[in-house]
Amino acid sequence: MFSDKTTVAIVGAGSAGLSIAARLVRKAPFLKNNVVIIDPSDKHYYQPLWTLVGGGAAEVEDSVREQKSLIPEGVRWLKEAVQTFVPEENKLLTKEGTEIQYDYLVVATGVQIYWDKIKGLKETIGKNGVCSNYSYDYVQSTWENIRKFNGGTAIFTQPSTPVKCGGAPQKIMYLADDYFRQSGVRDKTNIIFASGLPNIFAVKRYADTLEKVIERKGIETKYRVELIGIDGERKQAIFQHLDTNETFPLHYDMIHVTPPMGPHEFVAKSPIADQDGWVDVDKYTLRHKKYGNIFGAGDCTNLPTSKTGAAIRKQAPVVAENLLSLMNGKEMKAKYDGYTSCPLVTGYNKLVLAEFDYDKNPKESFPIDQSKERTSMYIMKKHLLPIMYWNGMLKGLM
Amino acid sequence: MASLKNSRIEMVLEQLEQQEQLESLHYLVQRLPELVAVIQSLENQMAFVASVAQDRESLQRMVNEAERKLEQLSITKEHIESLITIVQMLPTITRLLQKIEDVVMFIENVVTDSDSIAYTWKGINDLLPIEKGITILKETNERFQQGKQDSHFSLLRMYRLLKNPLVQQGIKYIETLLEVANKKMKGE
Repeated sequence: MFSDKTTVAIVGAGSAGLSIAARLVRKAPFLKNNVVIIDPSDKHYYQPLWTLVGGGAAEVEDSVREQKSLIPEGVRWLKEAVQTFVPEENKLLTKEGTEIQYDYLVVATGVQIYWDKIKGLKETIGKNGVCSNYSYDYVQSTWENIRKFNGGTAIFTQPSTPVKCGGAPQKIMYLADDYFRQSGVRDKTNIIFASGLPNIFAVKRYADTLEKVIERKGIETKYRVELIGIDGERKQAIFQHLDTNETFPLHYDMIHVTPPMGPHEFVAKSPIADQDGWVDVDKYTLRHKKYGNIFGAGDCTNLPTSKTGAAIRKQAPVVAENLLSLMNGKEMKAKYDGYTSCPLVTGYNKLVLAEFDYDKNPKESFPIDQSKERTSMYIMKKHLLPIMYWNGMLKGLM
Repeated sequence: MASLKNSRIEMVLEQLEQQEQLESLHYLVQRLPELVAVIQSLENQMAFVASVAQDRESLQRMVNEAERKLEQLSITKEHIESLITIVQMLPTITRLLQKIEDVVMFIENVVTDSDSIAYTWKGINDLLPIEKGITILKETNERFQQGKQDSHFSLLRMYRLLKNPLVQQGIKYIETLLEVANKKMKGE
């Protein structure tokens, strides 16, 4: 077994992990070469672009970069997969057999997609009219299905589990609706939004706008229904009503599936997880509730806010600042207020930029009414946010 | 007199017999080498300060040098006041400088990131069809150069040109512009 020792270990080189690593070595140069980031993936994906890729408005190649090109200078990258957390002994073990001893640990593993929780999905995804934006491998199948759609029933699903970017399941539906109108098939198409949630959006201010969008577009909604199975050959989707447990089939000609998501198994089974499997952190300081030298950030945590990249943008500086304060024996002053944001694409060139905090109070960045559909916000999402992500957020600058 | 002295000594001895005092003495005895070293170091430093203070020649030279440098700076009362203001504003200035540093580093990252530049160029073309415009202008120039010799421009060609929807829209726009301008001028 290979053994390594480090001051700070960061599990996960996603948005949160990289952003925190970059901030730590910038703010505390003495940490250079004393921060190890552990992640087995050699590719890094800018997933917010996949909505536009699925809608044919962006290219999938623009959403991926080599991981090694993004690791901050002065940060060591261990290209292995963490298997076990041993917080009592300040160490973790990888699948490859490396033991990492740390003084401080940051857990930023993201979420796991559970494709196999929907019976028949794995066998049929990418064919038989079944598509999904939630994988680099399948996202282009969404655009293929939308582009070639000749009318019939198009279903867009959202599970009842937390998902990365809660608004994404409906964004692709609005783009599809727009495209069906352009290609002249909307009149012979029935669009159904089948969601496990009780409403279109959790924040009333934006839900009001989205209800109007749904009405204007003539979309049929079914709430509190969960997709539990797909029969690709018969083009039939099986749903379960979450209040009555009753199951019912729906025929489709095209179905966009947002798969159920949850914590990674190696996190859920570890002592750092809460009863639901998420990393158990204080919602303001982001420090672990039990282990004082552990912090958590991003989708893997039990923070009661929507899991988005924008939320991570606000969490990363809090983790970096509080960790350095702890290291230097100072009071942890940085607080996260639950800020999150969802750029709700409502069509080609239209977007509602939802921003809110733990209390669902709007926390809007621009001095305009962001609950309205705006072209300017769409341009920002498509053209500005990716640049800000690669060059600002991942470098720990914004 | 002797009895008073003896009673004071006895009081001190009594005090020293107390547990707390004994522990303190023990501690002092243990740390004696360190304390002596510190005192010696202080003595040396004090001797150095005393020596410098007595060395009028060196002091004069230092003062003259400092005064000469201060004179070169031409510091006025305003400078001193500004300095005080800057010191008071330091927390704000530091925050601003940190933000400026972030912005500068972000810009540096963008301009040195070829993928981002390519993406931005693609985005600009989505919003403003520059490449399409360049192609149109290029072909127009080529055709214009080729047809330059054929300079005859008949009324029939002019009539056909006027029927072009783009030209018609342009003329309508100019017509509307003139109407609005006229109305405004009359209003004034």
